[in-house]
Amino acid sequence: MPDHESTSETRLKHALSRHWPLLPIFAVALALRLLVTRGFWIDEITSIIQANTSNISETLALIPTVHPPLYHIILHYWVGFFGISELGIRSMSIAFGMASVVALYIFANRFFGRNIAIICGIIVAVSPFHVWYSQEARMYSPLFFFATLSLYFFMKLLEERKTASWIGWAVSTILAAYTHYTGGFLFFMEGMYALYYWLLSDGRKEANRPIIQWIIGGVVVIAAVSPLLFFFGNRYGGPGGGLSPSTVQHSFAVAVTTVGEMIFGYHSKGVLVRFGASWPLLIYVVPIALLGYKYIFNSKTKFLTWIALGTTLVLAVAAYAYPMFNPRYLTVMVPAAFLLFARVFVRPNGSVRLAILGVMVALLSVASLDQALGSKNELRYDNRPAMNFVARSATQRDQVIYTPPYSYMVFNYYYYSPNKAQVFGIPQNDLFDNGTYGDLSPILTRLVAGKQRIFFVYSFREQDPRVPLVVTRANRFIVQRYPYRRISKFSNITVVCYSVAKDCPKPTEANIRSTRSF
Amino acid sequence: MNNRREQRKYMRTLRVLIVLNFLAAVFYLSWILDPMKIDFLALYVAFIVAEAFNIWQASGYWITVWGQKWPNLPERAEEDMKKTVDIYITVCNEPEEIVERTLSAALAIDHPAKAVYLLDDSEAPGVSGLAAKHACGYITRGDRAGAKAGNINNALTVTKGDYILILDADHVPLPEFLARTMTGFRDERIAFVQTPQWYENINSSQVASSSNDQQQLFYGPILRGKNGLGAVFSCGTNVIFRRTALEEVGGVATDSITEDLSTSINLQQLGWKSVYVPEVLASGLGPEDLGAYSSQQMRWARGGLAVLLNKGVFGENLTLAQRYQYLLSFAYWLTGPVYVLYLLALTFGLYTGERPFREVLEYPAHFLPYFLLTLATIAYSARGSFTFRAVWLTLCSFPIHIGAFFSTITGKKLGFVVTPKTANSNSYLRLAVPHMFLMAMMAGGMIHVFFWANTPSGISNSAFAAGHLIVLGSYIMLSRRAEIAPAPSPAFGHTQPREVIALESAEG
Repeated sequence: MPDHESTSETRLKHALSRHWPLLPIFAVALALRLLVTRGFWIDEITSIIQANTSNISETLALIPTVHPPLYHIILHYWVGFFGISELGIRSMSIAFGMASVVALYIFANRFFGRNIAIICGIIVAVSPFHVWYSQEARMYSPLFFFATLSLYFFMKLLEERKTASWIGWAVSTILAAYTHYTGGFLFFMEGMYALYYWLLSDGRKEANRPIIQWIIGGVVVIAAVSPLLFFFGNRYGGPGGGLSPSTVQHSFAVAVTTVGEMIFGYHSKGVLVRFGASWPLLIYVVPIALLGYKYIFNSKTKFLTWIALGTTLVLAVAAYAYPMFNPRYLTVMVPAAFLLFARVFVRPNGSVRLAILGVMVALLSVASLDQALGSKNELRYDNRPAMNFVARSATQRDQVIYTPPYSYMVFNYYYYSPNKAQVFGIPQNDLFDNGTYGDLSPILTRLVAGKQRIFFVYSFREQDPRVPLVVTRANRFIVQRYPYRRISKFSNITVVCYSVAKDCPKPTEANIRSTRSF
Repeated sequence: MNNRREQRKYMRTLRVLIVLNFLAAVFYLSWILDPMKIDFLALYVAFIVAEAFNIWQASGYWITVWGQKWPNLPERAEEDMKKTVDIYITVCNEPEEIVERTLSAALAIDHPAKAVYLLDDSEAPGVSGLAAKHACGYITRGDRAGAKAGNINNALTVTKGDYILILDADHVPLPEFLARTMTGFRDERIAFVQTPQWYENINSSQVASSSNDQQQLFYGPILRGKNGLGAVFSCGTNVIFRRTALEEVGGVATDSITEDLSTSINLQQLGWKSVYVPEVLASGLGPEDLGAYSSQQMRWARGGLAVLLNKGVFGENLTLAQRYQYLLSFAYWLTGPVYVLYLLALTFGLYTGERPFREVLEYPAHFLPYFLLTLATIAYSARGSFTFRAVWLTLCSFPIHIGAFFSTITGKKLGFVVTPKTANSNSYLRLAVPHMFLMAMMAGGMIHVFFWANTPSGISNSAFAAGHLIVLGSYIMLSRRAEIAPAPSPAFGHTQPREVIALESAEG
């Protein structure tokens, strides 16, 4: 056998003997990410509509400036291979999610050693937040991956000062920024740390090199992402710009709760409230972790703390001024948070810390499973069974109406009616914004004329304050004309069937199963 | 942390943390002091009193550690070696082998003009034999008046050295003790130079290690901070006094069971100054069981509170910084009563469902930033040397603090009790009776919440209570255990730090 082959074989054997825990970690991570029980929600369907075009220029034309284009471009080519089935679409996020698990393991192993890499790998594998976004057909999974690479190369840049490190950092940061605007925020936070590092160097010459490299890399990054700044300014800067209106109260409590969601994932309100109410346990856990830990404040943990806490704090403060706070916008700091988490809670002979870690990992695993399987989770998005139920039940003699009107995307993807029932979305924007406030009568009168049954589909989940008003008024109008009614509830969708006779169907195993193949 | 650049870096980061901590405290206070947030008034008042004390202590800590100062002592010169030093080893019934270790080490101290004396207040003979064996001075007296202070004052009338190094019988000095400290006296206004206490028996018992950890914060950032504010006080051992200064205040104070504190105040009132050298130059034995620990803490708490109430904190000729520092240090002994106030308020809430604030979900959002930053500030300032078990032991010492508080107020006499240097086989379960009582109360409250008041507010209270149950329960476990310490390890084993709060290698 040639020498180079035996060398590579030895290396492989050595790597396997040392890093074999990555294999079970990978397997558990993959299993949890394949355990998708929820349907697509509106934003995911938007992704599909924008990606599922005949050529890339069509995709680019469809992409609004709400988000940068990289994810949609990759997804366009992805669906060419894998199709637009739920798994086909989600598989891209799952792939990036799995790549993140490996990347974070390598990251932790490179800077903190094997033990912490294993713990970090376990944490990211079972993290409800990471599992959730590794399944979602949006840009957060790739963003996590590119953010991990950016942080990894930045730390290498500070330590090794090799050209390859800053090239790696610049490329991954550009990719992160082109995936989501908060990738640019990561660039800013890293820059602030570079400045801090340089200020603390007291003019030492060896500190100048990484700073010069960072500045050169920074110029490259800024040049590369400058087109995004133009779009960002147009989208968010002008009058009438900004994100969709939000009814979330922007208090610091919301920010903290959001961070909690980021760690423990999404569950039913009941679970979250009780879980959140146990916060005083932190008063005991955190000191055990922090106090007496001599190595917590070294240059690596300082940087990670800056990224994790600094980013959270800045976004939390920004949330007061701008309705933008959402756990997924914190994705760029989550790799740093996971690494810190693993770093803080593990040290040799720290049996108490290991016990705490065991409890935390158990909690995260349970939370991941509850998030996926818990029937009370409002974010399960049971669009598929709801749509199937309506499509299978409604006939040409019936009328399907829905609100909010942007649910048309859900209908586009899931609703396939062999019976050709009429479908109509109530245009609430016109009603409420153009002076005809609340007057649904003309529209509804036209819709219900001559119909045997009305299937009214609505979802409150989107937090649009207009939805409950429309629902109340529409129900009030319809109920006067139809004596019989049956309400069927799915996790995020309610279907009310009104009928002139006692023939409203119930959801059954047979009528919620999908008949459509992609 | 001898490197100036490291010190500057450490101070810069610490000050950033303190500023953030201050802002978080303001944010927190602005919320809890909003009258619109008050729910159940009595609970609110109890909570505010307790929290005000804690925030005051925290802010005192920030002020103290903000101006930490490392002494810039010159290298030893010929003139320093000529200064005559009497080394007093105070003995009061300590085992002979412990005294002998200290004596041998004292004789090995590198200083030409030194004389070593055993100051024997023991009831049993034997120490004189040690003195004869090692050819050192031996001083005893007919009575035991004034306890340790009286013992030292008696020796002062016998010996003639210009400087007095005081070592407790179990504090084994390094040979370079005087070489590293005597240059501090080149400033003629310096009355004493204090060095840290460090327990070498930290591996012998949970109590020893926890009480050592308690000391780390004090002998690290706090005393360095007091050094910067001119408010270092003597800690009774590992300290060198200038004879003329001591004579000017009539010797070591005998009006207090914490003679060191009282003497420091007397000296500072006359304009004398003090220096802290944050370098571990002697290793001692900490209390090894709860009995010894309680006895030591009771003496310190009584002494501290007595000085706070009766002596010169508000007296004449102390600088504002000195008064504030003494006030902070002595008020530390009120931690116990405040902790019990928290526990009682919590227990009340568990049974009644009442709470101090409305909008309870908003509370952690305002409290946690302050809490986490406070922890970060302490953890960073102590460079990891201050541990959770130190906090735990402090909280569980509430019966001692409360006992000291009331006995000080009522003027009940407490004699000077030397902290036992070895453990005995007793169980100290009786010391944990208050803990058991509070645990039972809280456990009952948690059961009440679980079955009859399972609300988010009740769950929060139960989570608080669960943490306290662990804290108090661990103390009970400790009180049941009869820890027999092994023989002390050789002085200055491999675990001895060079500085109490040494700056560890940055890369861990």
